[in-house]
Amino acid sequence: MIKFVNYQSTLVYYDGPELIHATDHIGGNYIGMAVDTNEAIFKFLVVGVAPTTLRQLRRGAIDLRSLILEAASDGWYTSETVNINDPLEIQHMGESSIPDSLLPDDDYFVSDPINDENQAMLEATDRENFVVHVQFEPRNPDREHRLNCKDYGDFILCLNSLIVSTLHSIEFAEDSVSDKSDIGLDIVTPAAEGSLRVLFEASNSESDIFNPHHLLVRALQQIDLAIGNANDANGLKSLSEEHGEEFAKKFISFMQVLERSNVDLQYAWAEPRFQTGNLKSVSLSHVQHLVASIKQNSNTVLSTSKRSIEGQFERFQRSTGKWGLRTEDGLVEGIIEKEERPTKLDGLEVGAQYIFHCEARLTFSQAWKNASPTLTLRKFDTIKTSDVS
Amino acid sequence: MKYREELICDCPPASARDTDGLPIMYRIICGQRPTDADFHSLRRLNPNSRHEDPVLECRARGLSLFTDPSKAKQRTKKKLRDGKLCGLKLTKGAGKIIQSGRLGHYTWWPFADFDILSCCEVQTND
Repeated sequence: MIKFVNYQSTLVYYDGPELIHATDHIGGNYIGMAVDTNEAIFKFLVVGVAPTTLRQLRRGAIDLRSLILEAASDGWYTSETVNINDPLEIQHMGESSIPDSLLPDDDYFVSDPINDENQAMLEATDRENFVVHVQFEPRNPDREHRLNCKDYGDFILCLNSLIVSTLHSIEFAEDSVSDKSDIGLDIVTPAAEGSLRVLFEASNSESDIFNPHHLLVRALQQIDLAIGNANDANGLKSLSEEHGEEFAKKFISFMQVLERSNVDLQYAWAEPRFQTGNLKSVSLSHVQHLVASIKQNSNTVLSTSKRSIEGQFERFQRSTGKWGLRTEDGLVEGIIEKEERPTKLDGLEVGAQYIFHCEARLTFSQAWKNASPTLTLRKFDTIKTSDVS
Repeated sequence: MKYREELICDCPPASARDTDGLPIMYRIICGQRPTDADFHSLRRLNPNSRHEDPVLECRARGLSLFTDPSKAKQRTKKKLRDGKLCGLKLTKGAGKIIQSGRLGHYTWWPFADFDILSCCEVQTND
């Protein structure tokens, strides 16, 4: 009977694939090991392997020779191909023993053994992908801890928003634009029993082998640093100055969710090429301290930035200084400071088109409520009717 | 700068680095002395094949090197296991290089005018 398997990934490479992982049409796993042949054709010795055995191989817990000898008791195959991307026809060689010349050395391990305590590194190795492993630690380990569904959902969304916002800030700082359509994280439900833990995995596992998930790696490095450095309101201000207002807002939202969840958070992240995963803890007491500092500084300005808005001047309230400008995205509101109202108002005409140059000030209170910053009109340019298309 | 092998667009990647400041890198040679054929890429040996993925195709046009000699010798092919190890002291102008795997695996794209054989020292104790 002719049987085909499909190439999935390369586990070991030396001037070409040396050890590959392939699957058949029902998801069965196979290992293909390159054996001597002429250089124009890939020739593999192939054996079927159980998922747990494949995991052990990737983790450096079992040597390749032992795996092949064990698996070959159920039969072994050979396969030849010119193009590894084509379906590989495997030829059953029966249950005869494999010639010793085809077997690898006794001490051939695919990876150095991985410390079993490092869950993120193990997951990254198993999945050949970037992962973030999050674990919720109950305050009292003898008791179960309940997490409100909304808080749980908010936590997932906040963490994702924080990472996305960090990716934006990295790009903004470097003035570069990349195709981010395949950068993101999926939540994985592991095929095993477990307590409450969440495993995020890069949406695109086929990362560039030369720069594996470098943007996600940098985003998580930045978040680790932010968590380490933002100890109070001043620390948050520095974050905002360094990475932008949006990042600071997402970070504060993340702290809110952690406070509501009433748990110590532990997360770790890793990429298969790492020697070890990056482990980080965020204690509830640290979060509570930060939240208290935010509340004490509710009216303090967290960030200021300049913003220009184009639209039709729609309304103005002389007593409060509030104005409204109708833009393509809707009504934008702001203020004119009391002392500047007479001079500014002289030049403004309801119904006319303007570019408002504003100072955007975001207070801690606004950041906490995820509200927009207050826009203060500093100057404006009139758009002539002939300029309006 | 011209490379030893014909490369494809965007290969080597922009993140590949110059070869100065590296430790000794190791590669397997098949005879007692290094020859030019010991430094042919997979694509040169197998010109009729081509990866659809440009990143994998780029790797196929480079040479595998290891930082750790014991890892370099752990190969599945007997021909390679029986080969000798060559230590390469790469200097600036040897090409571009990038780490491209676990266990200290690097991919190297040598420049055309770099004299590989003169910087390749066969290891006597492997």
